[in-house]
Amino acid sequence: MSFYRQRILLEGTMPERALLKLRRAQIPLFHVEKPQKNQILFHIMKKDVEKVFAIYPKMCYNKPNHGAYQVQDLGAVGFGKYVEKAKRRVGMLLGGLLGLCLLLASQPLVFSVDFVGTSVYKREIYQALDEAGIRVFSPYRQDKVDEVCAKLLAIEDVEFCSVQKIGHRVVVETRLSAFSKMQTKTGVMRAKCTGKLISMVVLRGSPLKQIGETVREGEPLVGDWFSTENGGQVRVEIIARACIACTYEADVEAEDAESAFAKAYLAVGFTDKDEMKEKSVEKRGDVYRVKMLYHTIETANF
Amino acid sequence: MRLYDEIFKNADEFSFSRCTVVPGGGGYFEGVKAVGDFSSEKIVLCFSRGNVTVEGKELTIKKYYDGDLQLSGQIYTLRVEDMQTGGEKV
Repeated sequence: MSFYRQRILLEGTMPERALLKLRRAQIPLFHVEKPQKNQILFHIMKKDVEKVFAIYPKMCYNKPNHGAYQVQDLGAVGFGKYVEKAKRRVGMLLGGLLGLCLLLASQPLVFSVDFVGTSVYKREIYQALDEAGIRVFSPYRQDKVDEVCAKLLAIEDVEFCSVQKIGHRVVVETRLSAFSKMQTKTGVMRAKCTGKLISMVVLRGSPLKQIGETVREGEPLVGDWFSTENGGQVRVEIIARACIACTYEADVEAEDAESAFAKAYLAVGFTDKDEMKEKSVEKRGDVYRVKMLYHTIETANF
Repeated sequence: MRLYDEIFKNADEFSFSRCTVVPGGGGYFEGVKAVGDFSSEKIVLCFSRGNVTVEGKELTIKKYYDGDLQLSGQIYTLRVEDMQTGGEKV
């Protein structure tokens, strides 16, 4: 076993002669070298070290005279050298082993979630991961990756999804579709407010009201079908645009006239497409009387 | 080692020891009583009936135990001195 060999330096006059005593003591010698005229360097088994020092007692403390040899243990060689070093640094070794164990134990853990591509659906991604049990400081579950991706791909714009673990990070890559699908409005088109129908353009569908006719809020303006020659109906997605002149009149509790108008705008759901024609405000006791005449545009897939 | 037994059976002159030299790879010696002289160029091995002087380059004793000695390095010459006859063979 070359694992536990010691390196010995033997010094003295004609050091070769000292080998004879070692041979008689049945001590195997390995790698015998003569670095200097009065020195011999060799390896012996660790168990034979005591024998060597027994043959040349206390010579390591005295300078060699005629016929005397000085023996010096230069330490372990080969694997034994590392064993000796490890023995001297047990604490460090145990610390290292403990660190290694911790590292191995923490290998499946997730410490962070990173996003590649788009992070628009960050909240949805976190939710999907959480539902799959993939959280920070919890073990990574490879078997749940498909489930997470299925949830993310169910989001309309998401075209590509990839979930993978790199080190202690979970990297979620999502790509959005370059072309978003057009949102189509189905069903009949209804009036947003009560008023007079000023104009209407119907490219697809069946108009149910005439221009100049008074319409009520929620009343159908365009039907989502067209009639065939044989009296049947075919369902279609409406393409239409209608303009209604609406009137709003209400008492609004507000601090001033501006606030009263603001509240009235919110109440009717005034948009950029709508056009204000007339408006007036009148203070009546604690409230403001707001009157508005406006044109609202109603569209369906237009 | 039966081959060597056959070879050395009737060779009284060499029966005290056996030497095997590997060209370029050192040698193996049996029955070594002592190491007489030792350097990287020359090693004198003492046997019961004579000495063997090994000359070469980068000579080191790889193993020495119980009369068996393994030598490493390049061996150029091997000189046998018979103490009984006083002769010398190269």
